[in-house]
Amino acid sequence: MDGNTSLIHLENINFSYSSGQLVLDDVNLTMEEGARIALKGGNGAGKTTLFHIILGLIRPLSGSVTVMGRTCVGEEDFKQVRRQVGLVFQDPDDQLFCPTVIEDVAFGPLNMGLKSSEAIERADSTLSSLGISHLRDRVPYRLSGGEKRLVSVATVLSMKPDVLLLDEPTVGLDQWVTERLIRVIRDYPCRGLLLISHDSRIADALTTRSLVLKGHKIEEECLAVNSQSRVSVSGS
Amino acid sequence: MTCEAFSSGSSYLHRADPRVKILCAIFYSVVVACLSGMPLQYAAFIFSAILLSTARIPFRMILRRLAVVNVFVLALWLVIPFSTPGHVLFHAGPLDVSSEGICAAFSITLKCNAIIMANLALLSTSSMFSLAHSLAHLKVHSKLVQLFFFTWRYLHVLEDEHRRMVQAIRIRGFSPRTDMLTYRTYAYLVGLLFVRGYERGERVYKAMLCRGFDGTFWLLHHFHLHGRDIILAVVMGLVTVALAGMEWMGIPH
Amino acid sequence: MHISEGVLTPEILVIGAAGAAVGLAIGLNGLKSEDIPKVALLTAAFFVASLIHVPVGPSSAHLILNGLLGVILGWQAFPAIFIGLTLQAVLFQFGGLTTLGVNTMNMALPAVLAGFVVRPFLKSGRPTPLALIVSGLMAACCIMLSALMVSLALAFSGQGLEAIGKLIFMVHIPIAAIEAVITASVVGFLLKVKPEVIVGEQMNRKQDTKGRTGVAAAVLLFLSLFAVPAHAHKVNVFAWYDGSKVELEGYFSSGVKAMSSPVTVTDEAGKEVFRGKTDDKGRLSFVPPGKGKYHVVLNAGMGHMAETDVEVDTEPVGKAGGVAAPATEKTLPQTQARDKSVEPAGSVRGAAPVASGAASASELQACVTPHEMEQILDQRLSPIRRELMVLAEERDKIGMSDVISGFGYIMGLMGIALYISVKRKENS
Repeated sequence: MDGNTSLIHLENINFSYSSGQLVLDDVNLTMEEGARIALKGGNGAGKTTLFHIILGLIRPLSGSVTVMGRTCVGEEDFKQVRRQVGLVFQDPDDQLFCPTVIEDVAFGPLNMGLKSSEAIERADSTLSSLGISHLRDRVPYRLSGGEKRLVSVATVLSMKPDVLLLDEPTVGLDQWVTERLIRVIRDYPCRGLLLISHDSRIADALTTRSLVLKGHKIEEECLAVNSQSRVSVSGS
Repeated sequence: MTCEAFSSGSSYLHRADPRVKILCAIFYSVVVACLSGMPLQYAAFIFSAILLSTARIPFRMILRRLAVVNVFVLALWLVIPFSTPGHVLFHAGPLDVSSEGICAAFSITLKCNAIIMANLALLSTSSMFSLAHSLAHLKVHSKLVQLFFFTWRYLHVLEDEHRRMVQAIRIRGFSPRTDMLTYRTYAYLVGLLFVRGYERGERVYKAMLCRGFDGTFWLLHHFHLHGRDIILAVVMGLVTVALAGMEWMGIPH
Repeated sequence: MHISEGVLTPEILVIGAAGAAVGLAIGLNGLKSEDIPKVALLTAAFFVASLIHVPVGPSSAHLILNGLLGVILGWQAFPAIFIGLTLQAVLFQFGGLTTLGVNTMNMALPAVLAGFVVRPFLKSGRPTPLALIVSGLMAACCIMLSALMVSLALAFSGQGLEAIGKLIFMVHIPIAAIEAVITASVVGFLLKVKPEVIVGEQMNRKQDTKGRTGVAAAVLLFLSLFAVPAHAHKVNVFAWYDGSKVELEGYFSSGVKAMSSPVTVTDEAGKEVFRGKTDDKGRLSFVPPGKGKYHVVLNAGMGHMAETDVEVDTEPVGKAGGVAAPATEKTLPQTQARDKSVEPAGSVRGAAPVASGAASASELQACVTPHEMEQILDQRLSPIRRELMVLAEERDKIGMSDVISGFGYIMGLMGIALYISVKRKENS
């Protein structure tokens, strides 16, 4: 139905922790083609949980997840989703586990079935597009916080996802790296972007619409922020 | 952590193929551990020392490492000469010092140091990751290699977290004593460490799933045997076989 | 609790490696690939935790926590501990490559057993007092069992090392008490904060269903570990004086004779009076130079030494001729030994008198009766002798009573700890 036209469509999602604590109560979310949405909400409101539900990392108690017109039920469906939707984790250390940067960036493409030469080529081009080719042979866990963040974004972009989900990408980054990250994400040709951030710099620069997760429900945020963000996008 | 202190360098041994080094280290260590005659133990000790000298690790660092290990050996020296029955060399108060005991302690010292020097030369000159890679290439059970690999990768992260936790409790005036409060505090630290480890383990796996992981680990780095690796293998192999052969035939007995 | 390189005998190393390989295989087999990062992270946590030094009176001890690891990981404690020890061996040169198997075995097997015992008490997922007490007690038992295994591995590797083994065992008694307190608190903490770590959704369900076979496998592994070296490795020497000469026999406890092992005999003053080698039946005899107490030492190689004292209460009968006898033994111990070896072996028995009979038939005739006597007595006495040897061996080992008293000690300390905590609760 309408799932065919939207990138991501969540319907009546319910989720609570095994302790019984309610997190999401009948949440609905539709992300249209070209949407750039900021997802806000207090700590522990369930934003990260929502991201994990979209990618099938955790399963909701009830409700349906539809991505690119495909209603996802089992692990096989979500495997497909994970090729199309890239998630950048809050902590880069969760994402970077390989001994060298290049291996980490090539990990996704290899899993997509690319030959190792092609995967390395793809990884190299991703690194250079982010301007971090010099980190190629470094050890990820010895990088600085900003470098780790850029590499973790590279590991996702190298899979060429259609939709990007970013979970607090600017936590602990300085002004300079934040701006660089904004540039990188803006230049990436994605069909949709969903961003969790408390940082208005990146939210204003990248998104056109804000949603708030509050009281286990999603609400549209007031328009003042909206118009502002539109200005900053058109101004760039 | 300063633990990989010896892994960077440009000596012959640093550049050698870690697969060859692992195999050499295992066979050589096993053979040396089995040596029973003092002359052979001497020979192994000297060979290991020569091997270690080719790794060009600063002498002081080696000494420090060996000193730590030899604390254990020293403990043996404090007991074995007295506790081993045999020909009494002299009396030290109420205790008898036997020549067999001194020989046994000496032989343990030689063997222990010989093996450890060889392993310092062969294994500590590689980074942990390249050792893990070589284990994968040597067809060690892939789950074991993966475990090894992840453990090493996240050891540092957890250690950092641990350090921060310790700093945090210090700031609040904690000083370790022999009492329940101290033990309970440490218990909570350990518990938290396990919780963090568990949660991070979950997140890491999720992040891998997001990048399409389906259980296969791809080996991007492939090692190539060079002439120098073959020379190392041949030399180590000859020495190992010679030691084993002489031990087997009981030559210098 | 690592045993360093170069200390243990090859037999112990092989047994340890074989046991560790079995444990690793079981552990890896039960490990699902999605649990690898989790188990690895817990291994890393365990590694970091084991670097924590806690104060014990004036000194400090580092945590071992293998009991806790067994409770959390079950059979996966084997790979986890194996990896932890490998890292320590390569990074700090603690333990070693060749002792990896033995060390893994010593730490992981008690851990797995502790896991099996404690898990059923934690199923509810709530920190009940019973659950905490059981986990504390088992953590202590786990440490003591590990210490016992270390001690035994050392004891089987050479007599001089036995003392160190006992020392290690004793040192671990206070450590076990601390581990008990800490493990109980950690289990309580985890059950309160994140019960999934212990009663994890997927990670351990598999083992619970095969719990019984698991326990059986662990116990079997444990028993086989002890059975093999216990019977293979202790060397004993038994010497007796029969009125004319001192006879001695060297055995391993398995009944295997200590063949061609050097023997040294000293008198009370510590002066060497005889030196020779046992024959291929592990026997040797010599004529003592006179009355007195003699100290016999048999060296079976690889640090296996046995010693005994023999009392020569009468002047040796053949002492007049005996002046020559020790001399021949010194120069020709082989001949003497071969002569002796003939006695108990029935098949060769007929041949021996013929061979020596060719030399002097009358002499043979004269000594047949006492000779036969001696032989029969020998056969009759040999089981008793063996019995005695076993007894002597038991005496030297760390007895069950030591172990039990160790546990008693821990219980006492636990009791005191509980008492204090209850008092505190009352106060607050």
